[in-house]
Amino acid sequence: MVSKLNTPGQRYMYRIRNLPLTLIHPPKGLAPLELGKLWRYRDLLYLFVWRDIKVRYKQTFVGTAWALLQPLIACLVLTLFFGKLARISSGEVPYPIFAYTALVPWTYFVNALTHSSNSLIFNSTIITRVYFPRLIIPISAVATGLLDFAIALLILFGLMVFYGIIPTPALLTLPFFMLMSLATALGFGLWLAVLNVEYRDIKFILPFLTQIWLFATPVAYPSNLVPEKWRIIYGLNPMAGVVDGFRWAILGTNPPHIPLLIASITVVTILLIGGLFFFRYKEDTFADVV
Amino acid sequence: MAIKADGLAGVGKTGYLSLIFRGFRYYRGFLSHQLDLLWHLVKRDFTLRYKGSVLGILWSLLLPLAQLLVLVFLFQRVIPLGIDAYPAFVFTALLPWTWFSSCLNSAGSLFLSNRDLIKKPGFPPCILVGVNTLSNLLLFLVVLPVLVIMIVAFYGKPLTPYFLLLPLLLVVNVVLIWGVSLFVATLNVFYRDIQYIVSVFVMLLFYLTPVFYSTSAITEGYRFLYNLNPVAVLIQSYRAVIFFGRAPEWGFLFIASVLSLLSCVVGYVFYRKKLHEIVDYI
Repeated sequence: MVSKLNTPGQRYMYRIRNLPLTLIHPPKGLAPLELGKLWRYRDLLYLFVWRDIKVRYKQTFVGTAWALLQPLIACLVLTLFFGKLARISSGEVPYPIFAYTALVPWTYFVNALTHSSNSLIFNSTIITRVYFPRLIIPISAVATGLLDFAIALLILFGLMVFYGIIPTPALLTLPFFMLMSLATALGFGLWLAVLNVEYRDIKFILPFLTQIWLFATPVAYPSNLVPEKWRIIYGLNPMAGVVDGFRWAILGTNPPHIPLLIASITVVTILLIGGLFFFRYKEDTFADVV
Repeated sequence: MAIKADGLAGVGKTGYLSLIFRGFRYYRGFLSHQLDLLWHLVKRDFTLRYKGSVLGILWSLLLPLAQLLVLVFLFQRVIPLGIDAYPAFVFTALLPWTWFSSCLNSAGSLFLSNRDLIKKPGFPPCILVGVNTLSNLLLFLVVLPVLVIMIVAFYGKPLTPYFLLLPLLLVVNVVLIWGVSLFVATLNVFYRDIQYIVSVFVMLLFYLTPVFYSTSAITEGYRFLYNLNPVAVLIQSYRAVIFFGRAPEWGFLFIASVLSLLSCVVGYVFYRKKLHEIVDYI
């Protein structure tokens, strides 16, 4: 054998023939989620997130101030139109912080949903070139928004001090509702990202969908405006549960309606698990269609 | 023979008149090339926009209608404003507003997403702004018959000769959009978050523009200040010409035209100043 390794070409062929061989099969039917594999690829997830954050804040004019600007301006508009003009009652808390508390998870949700829905198309060049668990892409899209979320949350705590709102023990539930908003964004994002690959209609529906969704979510108004018997149906919009929970955790008023919250949690769980399996089911077609 | 670097070499033989004529011919050829390019790019943009979607061009009709539905629901049911023929009233303003806002929202990423074209020598980047403006205008014109049918058939409002002023408004609007978009597109090459900032400003401008409310809601003292916003004046003029069938307010329209022209000049001067840097930064 040694005599065959004389030229660089022969040595090269010898080396690549002896490389450990990895065979990648497309999943068939209802594929396992392979979450373990996802864990093994966690450095890739980290790199994707880091790349998106760098792209987002590199060569910018206002930089990270953007994370504050977006919810603050939305808060201004809501306060003027719903607080002042339509005189929607926000209970005992001032309307600006009432709106801002809801806008923090809402802004995160909209951004995360938009990014994850477009993520497969946006990353089409990588998808068509190399193998990696595709689930990394929408997950990283959802994770990137967490930085903005954290910054907006800091401002929220600042506003709490400004308005003299004393946190109640309910504040301890905040991480749960944060996780829930992440799960909601990922749950819907997975479905829409997969559909977006085949039907670009999603791209056009999305801005409109989020706009209507805002009105179907108690951001500009309190959820107790919705009649008691409709609350469970109202809770089928998981963001209703998230926003209600967020408000309760921060402001300590109006504990969330339990059936509404249960409906929201159920929907999120079903959507997320269904979305994961749907994603895996369609995964082998991405590189061909996108 | 020494090479003459002077561009006017040989003038002695042919005379200045011929030179001017030649220059004019050259310019005409240049212009027709640019128009040809513009036309092809608009066609490309228009056909690629809905590629891969099931409903295709139908989206250009469905999206404004859906938007209309939301506004009508919100301001007729939830917070009633008490304006009659409200759907037609809003739709008349919504179409030009959609044109304006979608142009500005996509202006920022215009140069960045067409990096390959811009890097070609001889390709004028500003033509992309024109393409964006015109292809969105096409969408507006596609939906315009629906609006006219809605006003004439549903609400029984006749079209008056003032409707013929529409092209004038469109020209002013094109100038305004082109100028502002050019400025935004150029600036976004250097600061990548300008597009997001602009989208927030467009959202704020929506409330400062009489799309879903009537200008009679504005008190007399603020009216002049309010009408310094050229978009607000244009929207009112569209509404006057199409919906009410009366003359626009000429004074304000004149100011708006001057401001549009000014935005065009400012945008173009800024763009010319930065043009040589754009290719390096992109």
